[in-house]
Amino acid sequence: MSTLTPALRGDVITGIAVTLVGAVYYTATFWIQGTKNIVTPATFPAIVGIALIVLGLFLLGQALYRSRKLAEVVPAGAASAGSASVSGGAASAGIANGEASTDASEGVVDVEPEGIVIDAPDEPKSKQVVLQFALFFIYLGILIPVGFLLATAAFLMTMTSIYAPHRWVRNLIFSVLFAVIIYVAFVYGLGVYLPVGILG
Amino acid sequence: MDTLIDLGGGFASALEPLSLAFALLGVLLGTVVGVLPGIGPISAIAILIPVSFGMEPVHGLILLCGIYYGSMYGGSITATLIKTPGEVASAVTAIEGYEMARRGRGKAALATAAIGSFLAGTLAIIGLTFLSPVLVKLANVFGSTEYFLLMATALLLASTMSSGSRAKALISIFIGLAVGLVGLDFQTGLPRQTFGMSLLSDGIDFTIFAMALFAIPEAIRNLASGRGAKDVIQSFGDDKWMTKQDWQRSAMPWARGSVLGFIIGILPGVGPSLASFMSYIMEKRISKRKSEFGHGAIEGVAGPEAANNAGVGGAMIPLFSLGIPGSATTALLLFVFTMYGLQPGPLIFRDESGLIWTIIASMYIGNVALIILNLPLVGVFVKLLKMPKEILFSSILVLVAIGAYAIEFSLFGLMLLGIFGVIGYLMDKGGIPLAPSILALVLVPLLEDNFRRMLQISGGSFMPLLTRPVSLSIIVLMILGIVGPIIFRWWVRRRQLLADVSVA
Amino acid sequence: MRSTAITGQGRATSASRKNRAVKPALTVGAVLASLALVATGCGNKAQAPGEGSDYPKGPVTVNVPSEPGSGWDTTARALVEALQKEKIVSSPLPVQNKPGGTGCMWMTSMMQQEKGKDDQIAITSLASQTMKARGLCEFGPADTTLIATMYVEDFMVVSPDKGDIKSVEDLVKALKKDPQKVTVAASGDDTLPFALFAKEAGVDPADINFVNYEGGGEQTTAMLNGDAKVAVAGLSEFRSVLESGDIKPLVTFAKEPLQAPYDSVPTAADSGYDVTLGNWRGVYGPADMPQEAVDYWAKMLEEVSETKTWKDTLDKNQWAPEFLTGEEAKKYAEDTAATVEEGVKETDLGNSK
Repeated sequence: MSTLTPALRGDVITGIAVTLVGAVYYTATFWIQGTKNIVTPATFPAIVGIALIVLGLFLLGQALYRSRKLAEVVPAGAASAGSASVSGGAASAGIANGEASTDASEGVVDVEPEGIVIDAPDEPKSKQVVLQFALFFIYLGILIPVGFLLATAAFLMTMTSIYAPHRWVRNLIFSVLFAVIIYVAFVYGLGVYLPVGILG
Repeated sequence: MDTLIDLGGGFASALEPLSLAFALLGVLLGTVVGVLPGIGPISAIAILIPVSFGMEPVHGLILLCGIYYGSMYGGSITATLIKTPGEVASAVTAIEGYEMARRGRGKAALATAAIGSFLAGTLAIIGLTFLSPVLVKLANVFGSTEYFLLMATALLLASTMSSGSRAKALISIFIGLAVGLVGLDFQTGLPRQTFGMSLLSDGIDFTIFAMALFAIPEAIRNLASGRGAKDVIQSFGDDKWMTKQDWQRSAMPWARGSVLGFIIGILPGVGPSLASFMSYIMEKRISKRKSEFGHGAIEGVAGPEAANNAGVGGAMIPLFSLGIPGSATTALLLFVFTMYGLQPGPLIFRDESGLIWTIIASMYIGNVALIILNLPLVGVFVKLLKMPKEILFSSILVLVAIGAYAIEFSLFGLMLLGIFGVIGYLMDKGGIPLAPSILALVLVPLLEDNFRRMLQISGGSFMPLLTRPVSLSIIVLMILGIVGPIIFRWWVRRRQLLADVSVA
Repeated sequence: MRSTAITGQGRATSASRKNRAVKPALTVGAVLASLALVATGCGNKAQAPGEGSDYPKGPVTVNVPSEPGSGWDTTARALVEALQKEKIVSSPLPVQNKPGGTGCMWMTSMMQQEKGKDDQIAITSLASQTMKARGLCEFGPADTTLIATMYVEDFMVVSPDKGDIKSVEDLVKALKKDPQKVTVAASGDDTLPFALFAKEAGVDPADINFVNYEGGGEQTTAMLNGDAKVAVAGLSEFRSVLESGDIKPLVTFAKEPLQAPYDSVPTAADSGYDVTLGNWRGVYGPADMPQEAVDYWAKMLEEVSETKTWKDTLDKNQWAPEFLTGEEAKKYAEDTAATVEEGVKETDLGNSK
């Protein structure tokens, strides 16, 4: 396992996750009420569940197979050196780019169209991602009980201030204005009633 | 010739100053509303229906046609600039359009979308004007067998949408299918895959799924990546208008997208969304710059946008002549027609010729209004990207939340949005492409219903697949499409090998 | 292994540095958020229902338990249009589509999540009763707060003009010969009157080959492309294709002969098959809807049922008025529910699917 490159390790995890999802999904079809129809309501979900299991296992197997191949050709520890056998080359191309995904099977060379090239955002730290998602979920959770205006202003203020704390005045003005403008536009312009919450 | 005279009469009433004003107003309202995530053409029309009821039928219909066109384009704007598709069709635009915007080509992306929509829309209306009676027969050779085959083919092709691992593309498709099957079974009304949650029996709304998969991971990633070198997603000063090369590269996708979109649009129940996906797949397959797809290929915006708008025109044919709506939005238009006492159906061109030709004429005008209003505005919309990153992306999170709220009006809908946002992020991290899932979610009801109908009608036999001429033709084409390239590749490799041998 | 550890450390360092910088701003956000949370404790719910006699205080949502463009949708939008055009109700009446399970999804919500609320009303019909009778839905219209019945839409069996089934006699003959071959396009539980009809004609309803389609448009295409031999649905679903002559009416399950131009269509009863069933549409509120709201809506709906706008809508769509409120409406619903239940039992529809 120590020879697993990041890209292949990603595939192993993805493969296992997909297999598990497929298994849970397939199990859930047992609860579908049976009927006398030729194709029952459970037929399609069962096919989908099994397909997910098979594909997940395939991905897992493929990743393990490739890593073994890689280990055979390239001595462990120098896996990212690049030049490898035909089958390993695809995987190491992915490593060289430091990407989670292997853009590999077609051996794509990243040809950028003309115009300025913007780098993809650096792969963010997982702690930050978890924090951002957590804040977003809190926002979704309080949106209805607290009301759109307050919840949105608070959420925007938090998000912008994590990123640019020194510009808190601008952040505050933006957060309040944005919430109010959107609220007015939806409620009075479109007749879509956003939650009023504690202000109501 | 009669057609031309009727159309002339239609133009005469549509070109009255007041009608013209309503066409422009409709397009403007539609664009504004369509820009808001979660408020796609369906909601836009539903919301604005009451406004139109107080008016003369002609004006009300012109207004609604304008709103329809406008909101479709509005959806493309958000898809391109902030990767937030408001409806199925613009989900495709989000793929290449957003990549273009990130590379400072947002103007070109929006321009090719607007021009493509205009050209395709106009072509489709011309098709609608002159080919209606002929093409409506197409709907009659497409039974459940053919629909099933068509959907299956579309899904197979969808696995080629993304570059990279084919297995991962298939996983994406099956995830979409899995999500799409949640809820009550349409054929029997029995609950499926709801894990005991009655709230899930409603199924998972497409817009929530698409917004969650596309917009949330992108926004979170940008917000979480901290203060990097790039605080705005692009520097606006460098943004150029369409270059000569852009025009050259867009021209054929526009044309191909128009034809494809129009034909697929005619098939009731499929509508423009499938058209735009198929156009993307086609452009990618035939492009000489395959490697650019996924990195901002202009063909991937031009083709689908054209196909989408042509599809709308195509969908009007079964709507007008059979009273069969091709999509949820046209179903709503159908309702509007009946509210005006207009009964869409085979006789509509005879009984209501004045009104129907006015609508068709107003579609021409709406299309022109769309491009007149939106081309100059492209520059304004693109300025949106100049906003500081944290402001832009946190606003997007708020907007998708409103979108989800406006669809479900419940905490449950909001939580679904968040959960699918996490799933989308994880899929992306695992290298699983997102777009095929979205197509699969749209197609799964059509795929399953028609498969089950086919077997119900034949009494469990698969023979109709081979005995029906149209179905057989599709199968033959599919086999050629799959086997052809393999043989071709084998042949090329063999020749190369031979060449190598001879060199050695 | 080593390199991973180093990266990990580096990550931790940069993260903690950031945390320090972020602090003041975080505090502001946290204060705002906690303020909001504290305030929730004593606040009331979102979209609180109105209190006092000024009902309705805010918008009342008109829920359509099916897709836009469907029968229920048409009813709701026509009704809202009439209510507002005739200025009977001035509060906003947003129409929302809540499709799922032939209306069961939403009816269940109205019995549970929306219980006791006064700002939700919904459209229902015969189909919901069939759902309950078949055991596919826990609740039926009689379980909810049924406010009023509005009109009845008569069922009709139709066939394509170019098909071999030209009359009700042809249909019965074909059914007796080989029911599997006579594919019947039906939407949801519009199968019920046809199943009752088959039974009357001496064909086992369980043998009928029903194919499910969504609405008249799909049914029409199915007949035109040969997938379906006949179709059964409410009359309005087929109006346009009937007028053009692409589709022919065979028989209706109406109580009395239809209005012109369909006055020559035989009723099932006149043809010797004792089946009379119409698809009524009504309006209901959540379980335990406050009496004040129920009275308000009963009154408003009665007013609207007498307006010209509404009467025109009924005429245009060939809908027969059937306005009942209160106990009368309840009795009507219970009577039809009994017929449906009996029908479902007799025709074995409950088990055939």
